[in-house]
Amino acid sequence: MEFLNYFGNVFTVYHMSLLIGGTLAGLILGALPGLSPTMAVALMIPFTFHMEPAAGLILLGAMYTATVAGGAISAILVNVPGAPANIATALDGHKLAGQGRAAEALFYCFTSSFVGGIIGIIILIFFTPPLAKLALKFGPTELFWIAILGITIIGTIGSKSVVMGLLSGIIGIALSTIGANPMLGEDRFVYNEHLESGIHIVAALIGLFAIPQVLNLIEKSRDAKDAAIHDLGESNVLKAVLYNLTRIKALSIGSIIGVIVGVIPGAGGQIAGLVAYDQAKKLSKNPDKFGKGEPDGVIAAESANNAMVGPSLVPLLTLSIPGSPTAAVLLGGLLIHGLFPGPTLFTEHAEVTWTFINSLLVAQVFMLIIGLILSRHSGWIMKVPAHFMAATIFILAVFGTYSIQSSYSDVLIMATLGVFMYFGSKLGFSPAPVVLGIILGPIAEDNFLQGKLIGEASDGVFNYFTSGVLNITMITLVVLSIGYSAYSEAKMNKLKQKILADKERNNSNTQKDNNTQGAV
Amino acid sequence: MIWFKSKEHIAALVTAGIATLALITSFYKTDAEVYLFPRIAAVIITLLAVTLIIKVIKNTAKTVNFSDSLPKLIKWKTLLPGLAVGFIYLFLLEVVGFYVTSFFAYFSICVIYGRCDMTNRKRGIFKLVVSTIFMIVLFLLFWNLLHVRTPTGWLI
Repeated sequence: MEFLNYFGNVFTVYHMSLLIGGTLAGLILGALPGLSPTMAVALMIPFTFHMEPAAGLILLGAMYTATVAGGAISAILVNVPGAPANIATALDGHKLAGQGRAAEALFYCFTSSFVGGIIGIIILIFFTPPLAKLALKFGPTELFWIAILGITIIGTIGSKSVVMGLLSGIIGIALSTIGANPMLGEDRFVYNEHLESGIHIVAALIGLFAIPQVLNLIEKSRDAKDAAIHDLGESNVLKAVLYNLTRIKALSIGSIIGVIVGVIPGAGGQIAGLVAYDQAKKLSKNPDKFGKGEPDGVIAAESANNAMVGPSLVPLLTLSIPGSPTAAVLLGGLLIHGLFPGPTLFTEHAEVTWTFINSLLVAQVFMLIIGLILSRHSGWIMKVPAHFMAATIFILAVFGTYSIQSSYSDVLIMATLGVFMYFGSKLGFSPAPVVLGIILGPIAEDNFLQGKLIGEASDGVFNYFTSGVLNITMITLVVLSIGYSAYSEAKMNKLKQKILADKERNNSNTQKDNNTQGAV
Repeated sequence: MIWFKSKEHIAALVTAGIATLALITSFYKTDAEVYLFPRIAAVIITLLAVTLIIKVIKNTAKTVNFSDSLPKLIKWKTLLPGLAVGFIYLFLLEVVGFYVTSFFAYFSICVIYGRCDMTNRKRGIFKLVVSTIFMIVLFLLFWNLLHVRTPTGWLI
């Protein structure tokens, strides 16, 4: 119950105003279609750089929680999920809105997000410290494999293509080697004065997540049509909240699945929402109602995607393996504040860590209150034109990157990475593995070189890196995550081919029929 | 040129280019001790690039969608003015100063990408007002209140 000792730290005027501000900003940013929670948190990191670590993390945590919940607003009102985590919410939420029950659907959404969120944070509070103690046993080789495992998992499970995902991760690692060698201090790949200090984490985070979104927004701005926004309708808040709390089955299914998916590194809210929706439908007495405006569909999906938030931080805070792309960005936030995941978080930095975790609990309450208030006035958020969003994000991205070290080079690196990532994303590369490669690359290299030195002095480098229970376990997990993802991809491709073949067969049959009829 | 006609083919070509670049920069005239880790990364990138190329060649006839060639994936005509604004903005940032350049960049993006006609005076004034308010808020918050440093040139 150590967390209770630091609970009071959250209730200072400064921290509370950060929580309220972060939650409100997160809900609005999450609701804007086209802006992902990952980008919102990445864009906010430089603004926390000048704050105390606890304050900075409180702001980032509040935004993380709120953006996931806020994404439901656009999913319900215009059938465009604000974040991938809200895809399942749109299935029934938008149908409810079509029946004139949009406000009611939004009330369900924030109430179930609150319940799921609280359960998720409780899991985070009780599971993180014992797991962190496990990290005490880690030496250089284990830390090296942990870094590789993190990149592999985000690159494989979180990506559509295993090879492209792994390539993205390794390219990230390669980019992280620009600058001085950690052991010998000699410069590498410094072909230009702007590359002398290497690639700063914040420049990479903002460039890879924000700039592609700016370019996507301006690309779509001209041909975007005003989406039809459903009327919010009349609904009693209290009645809706109480009804929501009686839907124990849907809430439990969503929360349990959210927790499980959250702990699995790399899975993320999208999978949590869709699996919970599917299970709620299968276990429902009225599965036919799903997809036609069934409240349980919204409740299960939303409780799942917010229950995922807390557990996604468990592998992050203990082993530096993020549970979701946004958690990968939070890892960058921890590192720039000098906090390295592992046991020291709960010993040397216990006050900061527990204040941050406790604030996530309080953030759920603010998310519920502000979310319920915002539900009544959320229509205007959908009307913000894309060109204003693009211009705002672009200027904030430049400003945020520069403010970290007052470095013009960082701004140029950020912009260059962003433009490359935009073109890369069109070809199937994803930013999350690249970012994780840049963040974990130095950790992997540092520990690889240390391990190599120890290995050379003992029984050989290969033996040193591949012996011991922890090393073998992690190598097995690396192989399993690649193998499983490759198998799933192959299965998916086969299905695609089958569908294509069926389509072709149907087309040729129709043509034959037409020819026969023509002849007759 | 089949290699430019689908997303998968272009991705394979790009990765082949990245692999070649990684191999040359980490192996050519570099110290093995200093460049050990980048060399390992370059070899893995090459292996993955080869895997991707083989995969693309094997799947060419089966699942590749030739409708998503690069010219169709990217709307160059729409994108180029925005990229030009970004380039000029970054170039002038340190010469003119952050706040003034940012104001012009913000306003330019709004004018170029606003859905109404660029000559629509009423909308133009609205965009000007929004750009001015945004920059004033940014200035008051970060320059005056938080004293965050921004690039300064002839102006602020």
